[in-house]
Amino acid sequence: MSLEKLASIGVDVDEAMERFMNNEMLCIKFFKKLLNDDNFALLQEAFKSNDLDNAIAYAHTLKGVCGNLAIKPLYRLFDEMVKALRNDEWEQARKLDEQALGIYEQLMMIIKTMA
Amino acid sequence: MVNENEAKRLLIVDDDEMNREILANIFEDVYESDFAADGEEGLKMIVDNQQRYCAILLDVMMPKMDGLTVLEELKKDDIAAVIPVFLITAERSNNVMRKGYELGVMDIIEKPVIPYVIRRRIMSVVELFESRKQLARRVEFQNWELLEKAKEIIALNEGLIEALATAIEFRDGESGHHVKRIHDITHCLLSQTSLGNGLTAKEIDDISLASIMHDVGKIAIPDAILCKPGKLTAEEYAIMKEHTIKGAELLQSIPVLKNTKVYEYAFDIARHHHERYDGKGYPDGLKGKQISLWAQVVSLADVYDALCSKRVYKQAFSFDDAVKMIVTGECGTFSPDLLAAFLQVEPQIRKIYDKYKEV
Repeated sequence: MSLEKLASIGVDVDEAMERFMNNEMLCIKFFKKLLNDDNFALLQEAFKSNDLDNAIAYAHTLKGVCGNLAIKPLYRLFDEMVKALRNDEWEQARKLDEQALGIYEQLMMIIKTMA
Repeated sequence: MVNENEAKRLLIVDDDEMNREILANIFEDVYESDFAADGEEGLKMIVDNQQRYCAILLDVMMPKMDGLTVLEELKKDDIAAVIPVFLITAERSNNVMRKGYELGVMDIIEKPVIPYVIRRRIMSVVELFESRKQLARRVEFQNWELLEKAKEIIALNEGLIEALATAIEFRDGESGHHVKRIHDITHCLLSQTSLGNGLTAKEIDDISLASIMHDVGKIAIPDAILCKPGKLTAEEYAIMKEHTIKGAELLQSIPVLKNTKVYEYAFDIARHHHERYDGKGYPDGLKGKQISLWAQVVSLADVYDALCSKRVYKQAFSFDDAVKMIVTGECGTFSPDLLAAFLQVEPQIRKIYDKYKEV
């Protein structure tokens, strides 16, 4: 099944499937939605313009999305990013964002190949 | 007793579509779901249709109105006590949790949710609320049943009192309508004129019921005297007059009756419904205000009804003649206030005779 490919970047596929009550269609639907999700792009803009409030809001949303879909590495990064931003630790937050960027791109590549 | 229209819906308030769908999907087999995408919309849906929801799943961070503000609003209307509210949140900060519980949330469930955990936590609380509601309904129903029983008992009591009074009346060959008319005339005089000022509706009802028993003492009067068609001898008349004392004694000897408000009136009326305003009545020769209002009212009702009815020893007088005989003092002596009130409602009293016609 197509979801298995996601395991390679650390998605806990079993957990994700359980959250959707083993409804694979529904689960895949939300992975695919990520392709049109602009929260990550908006987060980058917030970093560029030093917009703290928006950075927190987008990081929080992304944390929620990654939590639901069990994208473990990204979930951890966004979780820490939200904490860092709330403490006004921009440098730390930017470091985390750089790490997230690579994984996020890989994730998009995999989702594009999904049937 | 089980209401089939019971609230079986969840309201999911979350700005994120995926969160809404995940939650709805988890509960799909037990509850249907409604959705709101922000706090403001959610609050409106709850307030507009409280009965619809068995639980509210509330996100914390939302545009327009956040979850905690929604909770504050719900607390004002005390809705959280009726519908369980759950915070579904990624905010594990102490601050949010404390505030949430202070504002009356049932439980706080972390995101990302774990289906079997959230199912268990929410369904147990919903069941608890349901059984509480059912218990409350059962208690309400039982209270209603008790009230109905009490009403039945009151009706039975009134029926027994009437049966007793009617039985006595049958002995001197009357129809049984006499006591019903006395009841209605008494009620009319007290409720339709200023005579009843200061009495509650309940007191007037009690007095009217008590009036039915004014002649219970006649049970102790021998048939030979009670049913004698001709004029009574002085000795016979003396015995006849004892029905007032005997009636009061009879009522006094019924312990159950003694604890009721009706008893006080019934005792007084039975003993004193033949007293006269000028002090020339019996058995105690009370005068003026010494005679209670209810005894005076029943006394007048009794005289009026006796005049208007055919008895073994007399023909019925016309209403006009009866009124004249009372007002001129030919029959009895009554207080001016009582006579004024009587004249005021006498046309109404005549209608009582259409209701209980002598055959």
